[in-house]
Amino acid sequence: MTAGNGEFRSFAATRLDALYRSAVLLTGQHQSAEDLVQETLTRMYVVWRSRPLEDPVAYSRRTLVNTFISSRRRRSSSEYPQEVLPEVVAPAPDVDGRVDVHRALGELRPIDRAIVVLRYLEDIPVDEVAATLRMSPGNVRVRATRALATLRTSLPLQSAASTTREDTHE
Amino acid sequence: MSETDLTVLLEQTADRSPAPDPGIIDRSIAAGERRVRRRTATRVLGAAAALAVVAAGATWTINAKVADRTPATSAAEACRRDYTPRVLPAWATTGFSSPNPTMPYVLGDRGDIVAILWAEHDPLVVPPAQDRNNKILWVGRVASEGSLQIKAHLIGSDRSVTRTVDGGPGPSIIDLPDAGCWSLDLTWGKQHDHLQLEYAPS
Repeated sequence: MTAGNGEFRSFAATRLDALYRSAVLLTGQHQSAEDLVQETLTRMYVVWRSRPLEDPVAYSRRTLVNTFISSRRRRSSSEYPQEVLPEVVAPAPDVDGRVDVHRALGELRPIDRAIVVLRYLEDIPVDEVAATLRMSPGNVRVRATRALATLRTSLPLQSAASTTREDTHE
Repeated sequence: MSETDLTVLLEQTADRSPAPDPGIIDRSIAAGERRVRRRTATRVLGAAAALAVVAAGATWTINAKVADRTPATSAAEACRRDYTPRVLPAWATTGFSSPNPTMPYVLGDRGDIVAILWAEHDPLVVPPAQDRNNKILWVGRVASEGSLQIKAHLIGSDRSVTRTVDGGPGPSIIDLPDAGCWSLDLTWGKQHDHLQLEYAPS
């Protein structure tokens, strides 16, 4: 094991849980989340071997969401509409509403899901979210507002429990 | 639902998920290492292909001009003019399409580097031949940063020269000033090895 390898291992150990938490909300599935984190760390390791990273935490976050978004694009381009719907079993909401949250997030476009996760789970400022996703801060704000409106519709129980207070969260 | 409500909801949902497998880290490093090796091999082969293009115009026949070569005086048994193609060490095969590529090569004394040659007979000549280059593909067992430094000494003489392969072990054209058996001390990063190569008179 090289010194760089050891440093990367330490870094990955400190970031594993945070990356996984974001990944599980992005993908909605435990196994897919682990796959996403592994691909993220793999890509990061290759870069780590070649040059020093100025902000490894931000880099890991950016790699995670970009890997997720690009994987969804690939999946989208490889899916074809069928005349007969495949037989599926829709997950029923469990008592604590966990499935509801995953389902509601799943209704968002991947990039909007990434914005929600970065903005509201990881509490990243708008400017930093914009830099991570390479879009303007204004675009992030607009998308975040629309995503929040969609989630309010999708999560009526939680919406009813909320108050009229709107946090700026910046 | 406020933004704070959403944050709480997302955190609760994430908290309920099972813990990630810590083995992800080991698997990521292993996969990353494989990608690094593949990229290195791709670059090496790309450069080797470029060298081949440079050498084109000439016909690289393995048996070219062998029969009428005058035997050179070799100062050490380790130096050879004939190299029977052999299966490369497993760590030196990355990038070859065959799973067991067979090439003429010389293995370093410590087994940490191979010099892959491009002809079975007299692959290296002095002065350089008109129809081909003194091409050597260096492959190190362990990747390391920095260039490959070659200190070459003509055995039986006081003649020494140095050569540098930028970027470390990889494709190169190594011309040396005199025919004979050359002892090559090789250093790349923290790695070191030694081997001998015969340069035949052309």
